[in-house]
Formats: sequence, C-alpha cells, structure tokens
Amino acid sequence: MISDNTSLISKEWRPEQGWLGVVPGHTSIKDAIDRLGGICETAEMANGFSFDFRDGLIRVTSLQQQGTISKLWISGVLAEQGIIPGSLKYAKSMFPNLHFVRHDSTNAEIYESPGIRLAASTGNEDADVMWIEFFPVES
Amino acid sequence: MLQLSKHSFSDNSAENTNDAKFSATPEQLREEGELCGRPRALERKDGTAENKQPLTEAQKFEQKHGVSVETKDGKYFYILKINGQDKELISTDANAKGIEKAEAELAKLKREKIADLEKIFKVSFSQDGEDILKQWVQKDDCSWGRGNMIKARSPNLAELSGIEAALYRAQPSQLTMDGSQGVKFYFLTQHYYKHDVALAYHIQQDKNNRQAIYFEPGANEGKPITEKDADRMGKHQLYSIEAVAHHELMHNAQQNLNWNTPKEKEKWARKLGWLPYEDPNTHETKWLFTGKKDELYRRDQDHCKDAFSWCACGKHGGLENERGSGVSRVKDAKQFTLDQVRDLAAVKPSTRYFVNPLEMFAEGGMKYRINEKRRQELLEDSPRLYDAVKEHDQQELNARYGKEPSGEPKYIRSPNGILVKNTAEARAEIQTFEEKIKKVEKKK
Repeated sequence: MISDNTSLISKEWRPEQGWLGVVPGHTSIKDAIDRLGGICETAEMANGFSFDFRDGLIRVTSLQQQGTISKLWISGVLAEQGIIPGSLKYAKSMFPNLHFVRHDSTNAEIYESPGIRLAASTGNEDADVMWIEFFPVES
Repeated sequence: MLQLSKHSFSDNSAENTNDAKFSATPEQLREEGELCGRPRALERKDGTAENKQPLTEAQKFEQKHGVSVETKDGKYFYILKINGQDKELISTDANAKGIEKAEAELAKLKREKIADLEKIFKVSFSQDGEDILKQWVQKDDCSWGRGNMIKARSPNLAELSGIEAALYRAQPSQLTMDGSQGVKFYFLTQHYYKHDVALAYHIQQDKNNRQAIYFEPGANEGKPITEKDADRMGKHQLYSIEAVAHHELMHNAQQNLNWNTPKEKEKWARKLGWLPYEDPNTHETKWLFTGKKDELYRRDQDHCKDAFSWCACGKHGGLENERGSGVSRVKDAKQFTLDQVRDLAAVKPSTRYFVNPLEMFAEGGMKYRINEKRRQELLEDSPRLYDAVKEHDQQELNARYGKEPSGEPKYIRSPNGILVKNTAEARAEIQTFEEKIKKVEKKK
C-alpha cells in the first residue's frame, strides 16, 4: 500500500523530507520497496537498476555500488489521488524556487528546484504535471 | 518535436561546419531536410534575409497561399503542386484585380478544405490572430523568462493539403487519447522558444488542454507538399509538409500509447538499441545509443549554450576519451559525427534525425506510413526499426478499433499506408511486399 503525502502537501517541502517515505540518497532499496508496496518490476539501466511500481506509475532507481535509492519518479497520473500536485501552479506553491530550465523533446517543459525536477506539458502556462522526480540535493 | 534546423547550429558534428554544409551530398541534404538550408537558417536566426529583393504581388501571393502563380497569355494561373502533379486551381487576369479575385477564391477553397478535414478527422486549425501562449526567451545565464504573446495564423492551402495527405495515412494517430476529437494544428507567427529554430512541435496539452501540433514560423515556406513532390523536386529538396505532419502525429501516437512512463518508453527504446542512463551528478535520465559491437554513445553537452555532441561512453555510460579513460566533460570525450554514429548503430536510424529514441521512432513511423516507397526504404535500411514501428502501429490500431472475437486485429496498414480490413488478401499483400524486400537484402 502507498500512503499519500497530505502532510507534506500542506506545508512547504524540504528535500530531506523525501516523498512517500522515500528519501533519495538515504533510503535503502529494501525499505523503498517495502514502503512503495512490495511488488515491483526490475529493469537494468546502464549504470544501475530501476524498480517500477503500479504498472510504471512510480519508479525508484539505484545507481551501481550504492545501496540507497538515487531517485524517486512519480507519474502525473497519480495527482488524481493526491500523491503529487496536479498542476504547475500548485507545484510552484509547494516547491520553493521551482523554475523553468529547459524544454525537451518529450513535449515537456522541465522545471527544477533543489532536490526536485518536474515536467509540465508544453503549451499551457498552468499545465498538468506530467511527472515529478526527487533526488539527493547534495549531488 | 521536429527540430531539424536547430542542429545546424548546435551539433558539433563535422558535417555541420559551414564548409561541410555546402559539400554535403544531395542525399544527405534531403535526409537532413531543412538542416542544411544555411541561408534560410540565417534568415530565421537574424530575422532578415541577405540580399532580399522586394517581392512582387504575385510572389507575395505565392508565399501567403503556398501556390505557384504562372503567367501565360495575359493570365495568372494558380497552381498547387501536389502528389507529383500540377493542379490548376483557378485562373484570373494578370493584374491586381485578378490577384484580388484569386484571394477570394482561394479563401473559399481553404474554408471548404478546413471544413472537410474537421469533419473527416475531427482535427481543427488555428485562426488568424488567435492567441497561443507567451514566448519563452532564454537569457545569457541560461535562465528563461516569458516574452510576448505569440499569435497564430490560419493555414494556407498548401499546408492544408500536406496535412490532409498525412491524415489519410496516419489514422488514427490524429485523435486525442480518448478518441473524442482530433489534434489542433497551430501555425505560429513567432518561434515558441526564441532563437531556437524548429520546424514543429507536438504539444500534449494546449491552452485548452487539447493535444496539438505547432508549426513554427516559416516551417512550410517553399516546401514540397507531399513526399511525391519532394521526389519530383529532387532529393536535395526539403522535408515535405506531409512528412513533418506525419512525424508529429507519431508523437501523438506515442502519447496515446502512454510513452509518458519510463517503463513504457524504455520498452520501445530498447528495441531500437537505446538504454537509460542516470547522470550520477544531476540524476537526469539520459539515453545511450548502442553500436553494432555493443559499444555505447551519448549525445550530451557541458553547458546550456554549448553544442550537443555525440561522445564515446563506457559500458556504464560514463564519458570516455580517445584512450578509453573516463572523463567528466563532453569536450574531453572522444567525439563522433552523427553520420558516424548512424553508421555504427546496432539499429540504424531511418533518417539523420535521431537525437533520442522518441525522435528516432517518430522518423521511423513517418517513413512506415507515408507511402510505399518510403516504407520500402525503411525496411531495407533498418529492419529492426521497421519491425518496432510496425508493432507499435498495430498496437495503436488494436487499441483504437479493437480486435475480432478470434483475437485477430480488425484493421491493418497496407504498404501504401492506408488502413484496410484485416483480410487474407490484405495480409498477403503485406507479406509479399516484405518478402520481396527481404529477399533482395539477402542477395546483397
């Protein structure tokens, strides 16, 4: 089962809080799997592994020779369940200093703030959040 | 996104130096499309053309409407060059009054064409003066801000004809995810990203939350309408309007088949030889492209203002120099031209536009659907890409139109790109087409 982050959504977020109980750079792979529901599909990346939950709507990755989670990725589809903010405007209100950094060819506009990166659809100033990812801020 | 032009400025590839641009073969130019149109690219970047002569009334008319105006015996003949033929639309007196009359006639033809396309394909088109969105402007420090509101224009007859040609063979990729409507085509009067030259973008969510396609300013000026016209005009000619529309509609298909999750995206990317790589410093997911000997390449840059370069990578994705030692910067890595990477690739990209798996796939899909000749080229050049695109296409057809109780698809795509009922004859036609090409390849 995956708990939502209503307590986090209601306050300004800080990187060390992580998301869904997973703190990239600190949470072990085993703990992350337990927290995200236990059942996942594993795939190999060039420099690590990915673990997909809920048919790919949530993913954590772990880089080689690191026992901890390096990144937590969440699909915008889960905004409907309150797991992440659903719109760019809402996301900006939660994550300080979120700013546009580039566009990419997946039809997305990428915004970043320390420890967080999100993609919003191109073409709408208050677009839906397509995905959001959390990563260690010290990198 | 079809961002061909951008790379004439931003790729470090050797063939993108000025000298190489002018010495490229016609085939290279054709494949790269707009990329090598150096004077045109300069015009776009600086906003002015070099040595530009004032246009005559007839030339202005041609530019606006995408038709040719030919003068004969005191008459203007208005010609649409389409499907490899000259189609005479109307004729008028060769004077200002004649031009005025032609304006009205073509406006009527345009309205009728738009109504047809909206009815048949559920698509829609931007209007003259319609607000789109504020332009993005990048500053010298790499930060971005919003600029002025971008206004749209309505499409001209040539653009409508190219899009129409694509729509007949791209079905059902013009539909939005729920199938209730088609995409909206916008024609921008300013670049969406200032100084960032592209031909077109696929948009997941426009100002009205609808899937859309943006054609950038000038993207279709002087372009062949269809691929047949590109062939007729010579291989050195540019990407047709039809081809650009197909490419962007493939991105719409990707959205409809849920390429938004890494899991689904990687499923298709791996079939084309791409592997995900997480940058250990930024934690961005990047893509590695596999070579024939399992070697890896990465297209990357050190700084937002730098050119992108294809670099050698070790088996875990880290950059490597000429000696195979790990390096941290792109500029220190062993570099390759895009043609070298294309030749070395385990799965050959069907065109020179393969900056990531999504674009490589969209280009493959464009060739698969656009006509029999291009589909043949795809199968000859890159059978694995052909197979992946075919599988993806069938998956989309099944999702949209369903399967028979027997589990067989209801529709399949014939070699000329048209959807047909899944009959024994239709399957045999495809099989014959594919086997003929595979036999020729084996003999080689």
